[in-house]
Amino acid sequence: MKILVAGHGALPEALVSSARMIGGELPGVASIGLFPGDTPQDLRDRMLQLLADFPADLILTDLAGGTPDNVASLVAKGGQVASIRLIVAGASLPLLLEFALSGTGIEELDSDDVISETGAIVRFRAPVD
Amino acid sequence: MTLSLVRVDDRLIHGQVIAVWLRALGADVIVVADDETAEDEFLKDVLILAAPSGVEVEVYTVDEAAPRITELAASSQRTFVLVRSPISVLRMVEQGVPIPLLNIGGMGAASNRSKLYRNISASTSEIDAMHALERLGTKVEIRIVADDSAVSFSSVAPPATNSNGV
Repeated sequence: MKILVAGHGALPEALVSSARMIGGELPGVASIGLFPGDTPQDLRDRMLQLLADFPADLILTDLAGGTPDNVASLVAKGGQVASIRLIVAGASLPLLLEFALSGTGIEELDSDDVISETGAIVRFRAPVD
Repeated sequence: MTLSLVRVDDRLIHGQVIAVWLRALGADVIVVADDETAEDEFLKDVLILAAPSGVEVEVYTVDEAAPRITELAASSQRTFVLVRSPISVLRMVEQGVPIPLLNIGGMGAASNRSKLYRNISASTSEIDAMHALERLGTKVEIRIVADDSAVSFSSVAPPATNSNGV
């Protein structure tokens, strides 16, 4: 499975680099960031260029409704990149690792399960006095 | 009802507008008045996707937007108007759109712009347009997010040059 992480600023690259600390090399993972001054078209053009060499099945975006998420959705809906099977907004370290380390193709995974199993959880709550 | 927000922002609809201004003021309709966006299907789609569900997005050229905004200003719809330049706002005010208050929220540095206040920059023709707006009764204030206190354009403005005759 090839995964592209798309998001704001340095976050995608940092997320991938942190995932590699835990999961090893992760050759099937790449990242793309939107930086101040980039227009949505700039990001689209760079994303299309990247996807031409790296045909991702899955795009994880950092924020639903943010520009990287919107551009990825439009690129997928535009049909120019046949490899894209799924876009999921809300990229996080557990979500990325779960997909990247699954060892199977995107079609064999129940992506809704992966998403629900990697959500945020409360680990401590101060007692109410 | 008057327009809830008329804002100059290079990025039109983006996180700051949605997360901060929409939450603070609420809107039923966002009108984007921008010639370039109105003519680019991809950009238009990006903006429509950027708005949360329940908020209508309408994209027009500046001249098409003027009568529509006048109509919305008289309706009960809570309306945001987003443009990229105060020159567009001046064009609308000259066409009779009632804009008592203009929010300057995002005008980034560009080769033809120089710094006006903090990270807000403006070209000489944009400065002139803002002066002209104030003369026509539109109060122009710089306010990037709703929690910032408003800084009036007149308190930071260099004098008008009338470089473009406005």
